[in-house]
Amino acid sequence: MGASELRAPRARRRQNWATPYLFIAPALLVLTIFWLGPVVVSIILSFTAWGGFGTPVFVGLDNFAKMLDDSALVAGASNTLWYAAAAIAVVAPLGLLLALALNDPNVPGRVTLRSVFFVPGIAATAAVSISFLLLLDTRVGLVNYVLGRAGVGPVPWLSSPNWSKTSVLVFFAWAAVGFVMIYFIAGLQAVPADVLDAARVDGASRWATLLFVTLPQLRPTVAFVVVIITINTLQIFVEPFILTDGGPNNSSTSASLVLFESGVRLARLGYASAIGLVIFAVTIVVSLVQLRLLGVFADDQD
Amino acid sequence: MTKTDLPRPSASITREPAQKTPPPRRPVRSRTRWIIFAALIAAGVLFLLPFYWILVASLQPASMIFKTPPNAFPNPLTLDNYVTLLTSTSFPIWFLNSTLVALLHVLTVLPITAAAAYGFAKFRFRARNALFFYVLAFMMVPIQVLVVPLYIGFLKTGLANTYLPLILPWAATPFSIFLLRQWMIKIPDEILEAARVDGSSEFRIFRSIVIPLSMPAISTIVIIEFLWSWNNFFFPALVTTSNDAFTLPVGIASFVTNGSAGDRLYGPLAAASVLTIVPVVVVFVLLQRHFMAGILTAGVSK
Repeated sequence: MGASELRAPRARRRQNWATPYLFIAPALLVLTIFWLGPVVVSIILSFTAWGGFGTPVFVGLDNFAKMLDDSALVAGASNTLWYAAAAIAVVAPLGLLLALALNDPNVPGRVTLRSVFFVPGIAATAAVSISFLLLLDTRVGLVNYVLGRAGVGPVPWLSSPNWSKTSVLVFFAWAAVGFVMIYFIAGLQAVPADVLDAARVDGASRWATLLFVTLPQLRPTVAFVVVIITINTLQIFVEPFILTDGGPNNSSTSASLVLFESGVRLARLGYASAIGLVIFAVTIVVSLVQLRLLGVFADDQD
Repeated sequence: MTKTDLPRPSASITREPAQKTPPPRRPVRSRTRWIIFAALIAAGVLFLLPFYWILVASLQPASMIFKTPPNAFPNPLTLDNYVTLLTSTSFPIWFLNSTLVALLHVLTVLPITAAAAYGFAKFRFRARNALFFYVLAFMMVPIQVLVVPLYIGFLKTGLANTYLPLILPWAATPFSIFLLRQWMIKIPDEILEAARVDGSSEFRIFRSIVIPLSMPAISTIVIIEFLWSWNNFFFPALVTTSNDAFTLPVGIASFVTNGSAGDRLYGPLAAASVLTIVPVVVVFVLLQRHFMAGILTAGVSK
């Protein structure tokens, strides 16, 4: 009691006001310089034409207008959307199936099996792509060899416009399924046990439980998975780059790959920036639409 | 078990049991179970095939890689490819680069994101929500928007082929800040208050209390960030132009994209892939539970 106690809290408060700012400052600095800065520069650059030397030339909306005439980009964009849709259609159900199978306590070795399906996702894409290059080779690849033994003619997985996208998708899906499986396992484990017990007590069959009890409970996870897959496929780059370099005649190229080529091989930096912004805008719009459709409203708990 | 242990049927008809006992769990018919299990094993083998294949390819003399029919169990095993790789290519430099960059990345990202997470988690200050939202907003920015300006920036300052472009912009990642903050929020305030009353400095509290209590989340971040850096391809491929500055994925890709299909030295290439993948897979196998737990935490907290 007395003046000293009264003074102490005030002194603490005065010393404290700067502390949180000090803690968050380095991160904010990095993000502002290296993330916000580039976003702003990207926006500005997208209205210019620049080869990297001299000063950029202001061209207004020219870059954006040119996009529709750019056959490579049009192909890249439509391919990218195809990749997103196909990835969702393939990876989400597969991941869910695996999660259901590997969440069952009756399955022996399920932890090991989970790792087996997860490991492809952590290997460096560029490194593993070599394996796929070998496996999918038209002449000497194992896949065509096995198909040949089954009487199916050699399939030009990487050299035909008809198959290049599929090959890229298979590669992507192989690496993505494990992650999705883990997300679904987490979701499944979060389903309250009493809800499942209630279903059992009411005599629901396993199928009915799955469809009408478990799946509705998984809605947030499904939403999360769909959005994550979308965001990742809209940016897809390494798989098409190494496997097919955009595929014969841009049949498997992606928007990011076109961006890369515009920036690096063609030195059209303004145009590349414009592409980047379009990818950004599309990602946000599509994600928001998906979240809305899946009944999730963006929130941040505090 | 004697008859008297079981409730007599006539008695139970007249008396409602106090609690409805759920019927025993119907076991899945064992035949179905084994079919599912066999399918899982088969799928597992398929998933691991690319790893097996690249391993086998790396241990064969280059001429044998393209033998038809492809050989799943090659007999003359050789380490020649590895020797070639390590002695007459830039692989050792790339390996060194990848290792150092990944280590430096983790060492920078950890303090910065942990500090920021702590600031957002345990302090109340005026701009807190706005600034946190600012940080989170960057999670939606695809790397494509950042790369062109970052590339130009590092090029113009002559730092393109140093480690800096691979470290500086990534010293604060919104995802890690988010993950750590979610964890740190759960640290009881009383512990921190007690330390403050005892006269500890804020930094000391952070270092000696918060960090140790956050180890599970921190190890998750370490794993995720290390993996991300090791496997990173898009930006390093863009910004590094000199062979000696390549990281492993970029170096491997340069093997593939320079020169036509016939020129590629598939033997050393396969060896390079194996050496790029193996460290990560080994670490994963050793720390399986950590990995899974980490991804689960990341998924659930969304």
